[in-house]
Amino acid sequence: MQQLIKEHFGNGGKVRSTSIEYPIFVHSGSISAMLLTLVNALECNDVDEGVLVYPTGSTNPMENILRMENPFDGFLAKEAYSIHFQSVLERIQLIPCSHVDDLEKIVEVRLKHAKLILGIADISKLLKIRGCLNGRYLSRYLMLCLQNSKILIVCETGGLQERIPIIEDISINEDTQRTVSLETIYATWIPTFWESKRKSHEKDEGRLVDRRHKVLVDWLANTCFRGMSLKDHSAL
Amino acid sequence: MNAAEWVAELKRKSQIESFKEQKGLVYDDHIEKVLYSGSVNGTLLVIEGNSCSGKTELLYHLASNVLLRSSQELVLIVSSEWDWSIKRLTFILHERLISSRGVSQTCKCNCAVKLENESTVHLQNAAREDGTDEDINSNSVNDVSLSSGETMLQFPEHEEQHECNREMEQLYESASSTVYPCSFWEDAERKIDAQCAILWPMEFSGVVESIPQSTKDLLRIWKEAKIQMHEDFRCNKTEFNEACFDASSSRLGCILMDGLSTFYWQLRLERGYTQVYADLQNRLCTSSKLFGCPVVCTNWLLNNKQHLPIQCKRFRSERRANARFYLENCVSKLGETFYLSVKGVQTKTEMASPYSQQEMEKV
Repeated sequence: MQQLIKEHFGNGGKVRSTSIEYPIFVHSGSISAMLLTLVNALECNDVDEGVLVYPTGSTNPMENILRMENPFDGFLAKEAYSIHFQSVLERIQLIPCSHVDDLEKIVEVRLKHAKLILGIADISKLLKIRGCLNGRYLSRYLMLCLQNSKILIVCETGGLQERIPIIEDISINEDTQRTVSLETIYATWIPTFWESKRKSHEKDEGRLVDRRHKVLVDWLANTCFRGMSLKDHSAL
Repeated sequence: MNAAEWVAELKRKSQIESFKEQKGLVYDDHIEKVLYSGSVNGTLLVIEGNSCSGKTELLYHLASNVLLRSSQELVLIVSSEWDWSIKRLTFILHERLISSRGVSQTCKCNCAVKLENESTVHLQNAAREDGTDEDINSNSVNDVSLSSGETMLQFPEHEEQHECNREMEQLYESASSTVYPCSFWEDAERKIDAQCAILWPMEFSGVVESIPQSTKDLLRIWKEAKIQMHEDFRCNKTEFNEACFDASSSRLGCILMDGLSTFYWQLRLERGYTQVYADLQNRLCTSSKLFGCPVVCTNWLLNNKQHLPIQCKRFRSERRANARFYLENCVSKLGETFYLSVKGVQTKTEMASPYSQQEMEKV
């Protein structure tokens, strides 16, 4: 794990919380990268426990990893772990979630009084199941998680370019101008992105990028602030 | 469910997928190939056999394999039979270190030759007492040791097993104390001290508690084993560093249990002994799955029948000749012939070297 941290976080040696700006958004095809990020956060911060909430249903995260198509799947499924890595994994609780209301209960009840590291995978899928995948609801749940966790790590395994309405009463076909991409909503609340990719057949890597500027341009182009300059919007 | 359990299940499924695609691990060692081929994490491997069928020697062999493979792999040994010998493991590892580093068969400090000569004299004397080799005299003993350089172990009858063990233990003690140990011996001792934890449970409850179910359990067990070893053997080793152990990159290579049925007759008299053994089996399988390592146990074979109420993958070890043994999978019937000498377990392939041809002719 130390080598993994050194290779992929680029800070060399022990990575402290001051080196990484939390919360972090992880975009990968599976939850492998997220789980490793969670392990790193537990190892480098003074937190006793972590929680990983993942959706259940049509997609099984374990089967997704077994396909070995995404970065760090091989590391997670085949590598032999050290005792230290194993002990960190034992401090992470995995909680399956089938409905977005369950997520709200988990966050508000369990994490409210015990500030823990919270990892959430595929919130968009939970919202889509309920039929309320829009910018307003997604922002609401992201804000809820931010308020009730010490360190937040959000993962999305699907595409980020999918456009969703800003509020629930807008249809995609009626007004395409009043829509935003998933990336815009996520980056508005969590500007630090951890992008992982497979560099070669046996080497996976990731890097931290700041998406604040990129999504702000998209926000201006698709909301009531259309036509306003970046400078003027920032001054508001 | 915590992430460790979830990942353990993920690894197990990954192994199953690999076996389906015929992409399992390739084992260089023939004994490991027989034992581990087709086995996934969470499977209990049991070597069954009668007395003097080489079961414990196989465990010594597996332990030395792990120690030689990597300095980051640990071995947890549970010796219910109380006949596990640290000196024996040290000697076997010492011999294998010599072989692996390309050094000549004879150690320069002559500790191996001295031990072999003493073993030869001891074994020949034991044979003479049995009346099987009355014609052998002292000159013949010297000729045999000088010409071959190796000595085949001759196993006494069952009732003399414990006496033989004590004599062998005294022999090793004498060898290590009278001869200044070479660097290979010291390396072997350091490896064993750093990478091995040996437990001698007095009761069945101690056996159960010796099986770790989490990294905290493993840390506790390792600490207890080191304290016990230092107290019992009066070793002047460095104190066990708990924080350093927890933060290290070591991992558990294998769990070896010598004597799965040691307490069987005590438990058999009680009610619910089936459940007790079922709990032990579950703990062993959980450890194998969680730490991703094989769990190998030995078991007595009574009248060629299974007497323990456990589900496991069974292997049979039996003695075919004086020093020739056979290990086979009870289901697939695939097996391997191996030979026992003072230096440990050797397979036919290893015996094919020119140096070992004399041993083959002897057998």
